[in-house]
This record gives sequence, structure tokens and C-alpha cells, in this order.
Amino acid sequence: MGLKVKVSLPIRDDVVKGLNSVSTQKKIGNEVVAAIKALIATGQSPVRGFGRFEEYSASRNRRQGKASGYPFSVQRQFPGKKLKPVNLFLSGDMIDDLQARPNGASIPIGFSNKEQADKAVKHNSGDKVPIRRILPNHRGEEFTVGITRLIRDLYAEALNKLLKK
Amino acid sequence: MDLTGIPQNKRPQVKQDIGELIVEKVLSSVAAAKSPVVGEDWPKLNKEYKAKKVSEGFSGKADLEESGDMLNALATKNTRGDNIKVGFFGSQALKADGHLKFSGKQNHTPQRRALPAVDQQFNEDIEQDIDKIIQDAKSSNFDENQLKDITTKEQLYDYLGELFGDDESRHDLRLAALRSEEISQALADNDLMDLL
Repeated sequence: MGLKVKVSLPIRDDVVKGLNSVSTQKKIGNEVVAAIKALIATGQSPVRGFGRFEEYSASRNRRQGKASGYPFSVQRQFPGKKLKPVNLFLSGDMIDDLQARPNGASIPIGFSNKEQADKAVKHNSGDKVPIRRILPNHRGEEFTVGITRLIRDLYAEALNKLLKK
Repeated sequence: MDLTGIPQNKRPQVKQDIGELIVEKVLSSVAAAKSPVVGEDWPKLNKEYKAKKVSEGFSGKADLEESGDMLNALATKNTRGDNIKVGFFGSQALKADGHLKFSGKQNHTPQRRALPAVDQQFNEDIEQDIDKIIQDAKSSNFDENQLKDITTKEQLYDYLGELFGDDESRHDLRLAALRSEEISQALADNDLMDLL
């Protein structure tokens, strides 16, 4: 009877180091954040299963023949703000604060400024506004199929580049 | 869709993933006032209608958005076999046909194809993502034992070709292998990474 052991070797040390380097993770993180922002700009949630964002109150009022509600209420100050798409963008401060902040071990994506994070939490949880999910931060949630594909592609390309060295 | 090589129990999820991807990409394309269909134009709004939309608080783009009901009705449905349906279902189907013109009926709106007709294709970006979803599902057929006798690059790519499709380029086979954590680790364990 033979005896066999299997020793699991890690992928080459330099490749693992390269994958976990802040520069590689920053590149991946920035591309993922760009994709999240691009999807939000089209009125879609980056969280799988949540689809298009709920319409603004002015759209609901419009169905009843009323020209009131958000964003009509802010168009004097922000004339560029339209009824559609529902893109969570007014001044741009909240969306601008959404960033990737890699630390070598992982790539956290989120909001670091308290004021912007509070705004994002309100949208994400539906606190006094309709729920418009920005990030999949609940157990069992994931990004949309398109964003998940992008993450897999970016990692494969980074690994490919490192292996070629 | 050709799902040959994908285990039967994985196919429903693959179909769901593809359907959702198509909806996501179509909505993104339409929001940018572009067709996701190869060879299709996407006419801008005429001056009068654009002015009307802007005065009502909308953008001046031809983004098929007004009440939002039609775009909200864009959905995917699994069907029997290896097919899926992506379309505008229910009461919004007629409105959508006014833009897509699949029925051949004419109206006052220009053709704006948000979905391909039977003889058309989605753009390359969408088609490539669909191909990758199918490829990645095939990685579940991977058998590490098949690596034991592999000693050359040719042998490795022959195996990857059997797994992912013989008509895939080496570049695409390489990336398909690297997208799979299981295959990447197995290649490393068997000291075959340098053959990739």
C-alpha cells in the first residue's frame, strides 16, 4: 500500500506579494469603484437583486399631475439635477467620497468622510428616503453580475501580468 | 445559447447570471443613449420633443425614460432548455415595440433597438461577458488528476482547451484558468504555473 502526501505550495511568493501589493490593489480597487459609480450614474443599484433605483418623489407626484417634490425642490440651487436618471448625485460630494482604500490584506470600498458616509447610510438603509442600495454590505449580498465579472477579470489580468514577469 | 460542457445542475444559475448581466448592460447602454446592438443607430431626440422633455425636468437625451415604467419592465426569464428570455414583458411590451419595432409596425418614434432582433447581436462587450460566464461555469468540470501527467505547455493547453473549448485562444484559455481559484491553486500545487 503506498503512502502519499500532498504539500500545497503557494503560488510563487513574488506573485502573491504582487497581488497583495498596495499598487495592484489600488488599480483593481479604483477600477471597481469606477464601475460602481458608472452603474449608479445609470440609475441602477450595484447590489445584486436591487435593479433600478426607485424614482424620486417628483416623478411620483407627476403621475398625479403635480409638479412638486424632489428634485424640483432643489433645482434652483442645482439646475443640472434632473428627474431621471435617479443617480444619487446632487453636489457630487457623496459619490466623490466613495473610494477604494487598499491596505495589503484587502480592498475596503466605502465612504471615509462622516458627513458623506451618513448620507450614504441613509440611502443604503432607506432612512427617511426610499432604499437605494449602494454597496452589498449585508450578509449574503453581492455585487451585480457585471461588477462581479469585472472583479474576476481584474484579478485574472493582474495574476497574468505578474506570472509573465 | 450553447451550454455544452456545463453540468446540468449548474445551468439554471448560468442562465440567470447571463440574463441579469444582459439587463444590467442594456440599461447602462440605454442610459447613455446608445444601442447595445451591433450596427444599430440611436437617433437623438428631435428639437421640439427634447425641449418638451427638458422643460418637464428630464435630460435632453434619448434615454427612453419618462415614467420609467418601460425600463422597469426589462427583465429576464428562464425558459426550458438552454435558452433565456430577456425582454419587456406585460403591459410595457407594446410601448417597447414602439421603439424596438420588432413587430414591423410603424409609429412616430424612430427605431431605437435596446435589444437585438433575431438576426442581430449584442455588442462585443456584452457578448464577451456572456462567453466568460459560460467559460467560468465549465471550470466546475476541472479534475486535478488530469494535471498529474502534464509536463509540457502543449499538454496543458490541450487540457484547458478540452475544458473551456478548443476554439478559444491560448490567451483566453490562460485567463479562464486564472479566473478560477481552484484551477489556479491546482496549477500551483502541481508546479505547472510556469507552463501557462
